[in-house]
Amino acid sequence: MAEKSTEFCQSLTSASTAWPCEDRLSALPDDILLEILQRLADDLRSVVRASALSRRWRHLPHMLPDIRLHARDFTQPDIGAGGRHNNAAGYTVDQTMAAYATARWLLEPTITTPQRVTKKSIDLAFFLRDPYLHSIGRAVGHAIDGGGGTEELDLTVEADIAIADLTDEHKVSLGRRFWSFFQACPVVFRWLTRLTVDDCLSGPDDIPTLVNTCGRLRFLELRHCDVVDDAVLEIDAPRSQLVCLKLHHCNFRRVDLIRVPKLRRVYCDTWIGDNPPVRFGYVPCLDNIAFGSECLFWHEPFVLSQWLSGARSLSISYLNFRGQKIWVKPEDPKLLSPIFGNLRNVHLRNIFNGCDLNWTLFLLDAAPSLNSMYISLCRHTCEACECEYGAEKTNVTRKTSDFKHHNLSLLEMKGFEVEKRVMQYLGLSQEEQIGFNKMKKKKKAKSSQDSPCIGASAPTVLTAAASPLAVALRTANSSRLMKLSPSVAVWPRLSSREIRPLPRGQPPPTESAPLRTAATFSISTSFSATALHRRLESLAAPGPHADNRRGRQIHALAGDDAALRRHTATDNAAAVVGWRRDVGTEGRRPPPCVAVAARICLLGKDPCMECDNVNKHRSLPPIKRRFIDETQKSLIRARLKNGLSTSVEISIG
Amino acid sequence: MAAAAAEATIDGGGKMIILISADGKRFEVTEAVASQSQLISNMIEDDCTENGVRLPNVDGDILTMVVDYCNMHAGDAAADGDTTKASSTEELKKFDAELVQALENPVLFKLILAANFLNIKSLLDMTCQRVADMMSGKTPEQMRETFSIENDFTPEEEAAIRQENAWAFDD
Repeated sequence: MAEKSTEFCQSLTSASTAWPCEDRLSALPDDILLEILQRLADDLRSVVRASALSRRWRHLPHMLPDIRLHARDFTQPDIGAGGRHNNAAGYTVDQTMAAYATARWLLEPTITTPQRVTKKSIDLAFFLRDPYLHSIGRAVGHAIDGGGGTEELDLTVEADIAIADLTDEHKVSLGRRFWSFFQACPVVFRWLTRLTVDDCLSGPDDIPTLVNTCGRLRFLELRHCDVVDDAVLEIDAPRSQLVCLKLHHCNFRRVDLIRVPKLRRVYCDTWIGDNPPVRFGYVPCLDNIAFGSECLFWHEPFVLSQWLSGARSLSISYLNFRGQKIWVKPEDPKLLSPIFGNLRNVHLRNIFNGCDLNWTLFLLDAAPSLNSMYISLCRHTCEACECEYGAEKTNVTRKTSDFKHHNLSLLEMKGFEVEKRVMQYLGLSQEEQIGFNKMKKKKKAKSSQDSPCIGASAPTVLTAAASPLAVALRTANSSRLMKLSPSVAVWPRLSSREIRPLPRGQPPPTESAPLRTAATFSISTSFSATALHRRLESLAAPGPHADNRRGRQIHALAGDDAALRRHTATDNAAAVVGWRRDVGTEGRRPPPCVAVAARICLLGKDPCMECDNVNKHRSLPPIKRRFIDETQKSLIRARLKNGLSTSVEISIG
Repeated sequence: MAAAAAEATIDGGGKMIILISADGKRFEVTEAVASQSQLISNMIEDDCTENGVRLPNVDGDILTMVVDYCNMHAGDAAADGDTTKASSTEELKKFDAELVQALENPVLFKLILAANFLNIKSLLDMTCQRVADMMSGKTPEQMRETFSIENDFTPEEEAAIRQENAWAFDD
């Protein structure tokens, strides 16, 4: 450090003679200027501009240890110092990729910086468009070879046309381009640690080969991908380092994970193939699963214990049902308990309105270590977005057996309509209204809780009554009886303006809950008509599903969300219920259990929240609306990096 | 003044360390405050702070700022897990923002050098980020103006660079 500082001094003194004395920035040593440039790394335009400042700056960008080259950074408007938009005129994909290909100089060593620059991380995202791919791949290969490797190599390849224009033929050619890139650039794939692929059609062996070839690959995300001939994707990669697999709207018939020993997380959002969409073989490290899709009429509910029979260390399970049918089958908890022995969190999302809830207790019964349970009812109370191929509404009824649960400390329920069913499930029954002030005092006493909804009138207080759930929790804690009353209150008739963000009690947006609660209409917009057609063809043999649905026109599926718009506001209500039991430090006797409901909100006279979002979209100021429309229509699909959402998420309202 | 500030925030004793700037100014700070500098923290571990720590690269004015900064942030590590921290974090953010906004360029760069030399990561982060923010979204001309950077390219060289990376320069 001391030598370093002397160097600084020398560089300062020598610099002050070589440079005009006021340019003290350029006089700073390289490593500090690189620290500064590194903080601009998300703003590639500024980094490149800095290289045009003077000779001193010319080659600094080469030396950046972490480099991020995203093709989108070349096309997005850049807000200049004066707040004006530069480069607002859109680039074509070709122009973007041509510019992208020239920017590869940032990766390549130069004659003037002969020392090896080891890149710590290289983050690339570009469009699959020839003839640029191979030159980019070569530049990355040189950068890695020249620097003796890299710690992180993150690659995202995206379709070069908008999803709306994407045909099966184009997917074929995208697949061809990608796999030719894969063949041509072995160095890139040898060092690859993260890969995200969009809209590619592959042969049945391509993806398994990729997983086996990329020895460092830890994260693989496939979005809107497809396999020829409706083949099952079989991944047998005993030496793979793959930790996380994400499948987003893929048209695969099924994915069989035969041997993926390091795999910890599997996310799957929306499937039209088999149910379940993924089969697990040897996945001893599997820890976190998140599956979300609407149950389609050809989907038979499956049994969790069979599905997850290979998993022993599962700690988080996230199941998002969306449609009118629950795609898992309740079963004997005894069969499931070896698998769910370590389960800490379970999320059951978007259970359809009116579904019996007692079946969910089998999960509680099977998971003695369960700490938190999150249940939400489907947000579409208007049932507007029922997919044409959705399974018919099927209630799940299951008798519950008596059991005790000792560890559940958080139960959160979200949904609409405080219906009798929910109340019965929670073991709550309605009583007379009592004064609001009393409630407030109680709330204050538990100061860590959210404040109650604004605009509340006198709340209805709910008291605990016997329900299987309440019994399960209570008998386990007989000496520390859960006191539900009077901490649960209902505030009727909040206007939509008063809808507050959901309470803090909801799970943090971590990887444990990655699947967005996408609207159920996603099925109809995200798959090509042919993919669905093929799926239907495969079901052509007469069977239990041979109903009149198949005869319907398939074009109705292609991007028609008119159904969504047709529906007008209906009377709805929302219930947000949760209670938290303070758990004592481990090993010590827990303190007397006091259950505190986070809150229940009853929303009256409000439109369905999901559909309301669409209406809100229409009521946006024209400029914002145009921006959204343009984003959706633009040639290039905007994507959230590493997110599961396929379009830029614009928060409305 | 800085020494006074240092004493004011001493909580529960702790060994004191003398820092000596290039121009001979002396600052007395607690070990906890000083060890935010990785350099000094290493020296404390090696037990070589007995006769004061000479910092020949850091002027008294700059060291005053650094000591102020360290005093303000000394609670950071200690107060982790404290529920009342939220408000003080806000205050700190405000303090940091004001500190870094108010600096003239030459002082800012000296502070960067000091933070780099003393190896105080958070201060280096903050100051480098400030410079990056000043560069972001500007044209090369604007950047040169902001930092008084002399353009020593020949017109041909500059044109070539611009042409090669036309996408980054089109306005």
